[in-house]
Amino acid sequence: MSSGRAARRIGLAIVALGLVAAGRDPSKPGAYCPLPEPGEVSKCLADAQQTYQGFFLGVEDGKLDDAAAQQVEAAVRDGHLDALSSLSYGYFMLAHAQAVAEHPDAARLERLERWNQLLADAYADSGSDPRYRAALREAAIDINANAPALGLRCKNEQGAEARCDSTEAVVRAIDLARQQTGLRGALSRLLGSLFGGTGAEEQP
Amino acid sequence: MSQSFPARLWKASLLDADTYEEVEADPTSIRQAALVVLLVAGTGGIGSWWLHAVHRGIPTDVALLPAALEILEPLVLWLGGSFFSYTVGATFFRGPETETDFAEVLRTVGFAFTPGIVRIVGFGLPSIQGLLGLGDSEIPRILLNTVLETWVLVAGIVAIRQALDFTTGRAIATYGSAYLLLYLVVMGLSTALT
Repeated sequence: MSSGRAARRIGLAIVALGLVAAGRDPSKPGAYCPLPEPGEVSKCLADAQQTYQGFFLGVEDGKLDDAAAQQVEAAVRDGHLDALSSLSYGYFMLAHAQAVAEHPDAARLERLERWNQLLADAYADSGSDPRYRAALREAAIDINANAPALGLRCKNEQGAEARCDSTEAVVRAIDLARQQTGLRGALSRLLGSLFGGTGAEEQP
Repeated sequence: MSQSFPARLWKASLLDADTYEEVEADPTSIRQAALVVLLVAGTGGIGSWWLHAVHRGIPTDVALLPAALEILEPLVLWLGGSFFSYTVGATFFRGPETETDFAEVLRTVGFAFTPGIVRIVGFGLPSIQGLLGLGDSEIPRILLNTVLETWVLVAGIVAIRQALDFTTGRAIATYGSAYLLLYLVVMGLSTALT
């Protein structure tokens, strides 16, 4: 096979992946609901808006109270896709509000940083639910692409504070999970068995 | 006429099947294949050490594990993956034209690691970003590593397909089975030694 044919095949694979992605119905029940275009409202969020009415009202009015936020946060931890879509939408709205605000709102920034950590933790805990894990990845990419970067902080692999734009926390969690599974994770455990102490969970 | 080593590296990274056929037919290329894997292991080890011990200032004893993993993983994947690919591919998934030996698989799979040499750039990215004042985001490094690992995976499938002279579907099945078997062996060893 020539390099030209190889390149064509890679190109075809990319096109095929694109077609698969484009062919997905974002409004399918039980799927992650992508963020809307500016000024639009996602139809696929209609059910979530009923379930988490207080959250949506709070996000849109800029007066999100803790109880409404905690309801969605708990549901995200429990693996509810509608809550994940709601949180993603809330993140998007709060990040835009923060980006255009004359004075940064410390409480809003803190909430977004907490949501970064929540998404990262939910990803780390979703090993037994590949569908939810894929939705978390999709949400992370969606937020990263659409919400403005705010210079948030999050914890890195060593547990230290690090600059964490948008959903970097989730991307780091994805990478860490990848490092701890598969052949690399098995080799890490083997090295830990042979030399004691260090294992996959303790990688920097 | 056979290609030079750099030309083989370039074509192998472009997934050129003719290059993998050439390597398959050239018994002397085993040294080059081994060199490719050693380069990937060496640059990975150095890169990981740089990132963890130098850039992040992590204590030496903690930074040792990821560096050792970077060195060990390509070697284990090459030797173990080639062995299981050969045993599974030449038996369960063999095609009508499959005619190979372990050394042929070792040679082609060794060249499939070529894109992995670039991983050292990924380990250096956080330092480069710091020098250029581009922040400390880990996303570029993670994305580059993911792309390179996927690239090596695809090259591995091409290498197995050419070494075992069968279809891409059989090569994917062989690669998947070999990876699973290798994973089970390493997991079994680590459990037995715990």
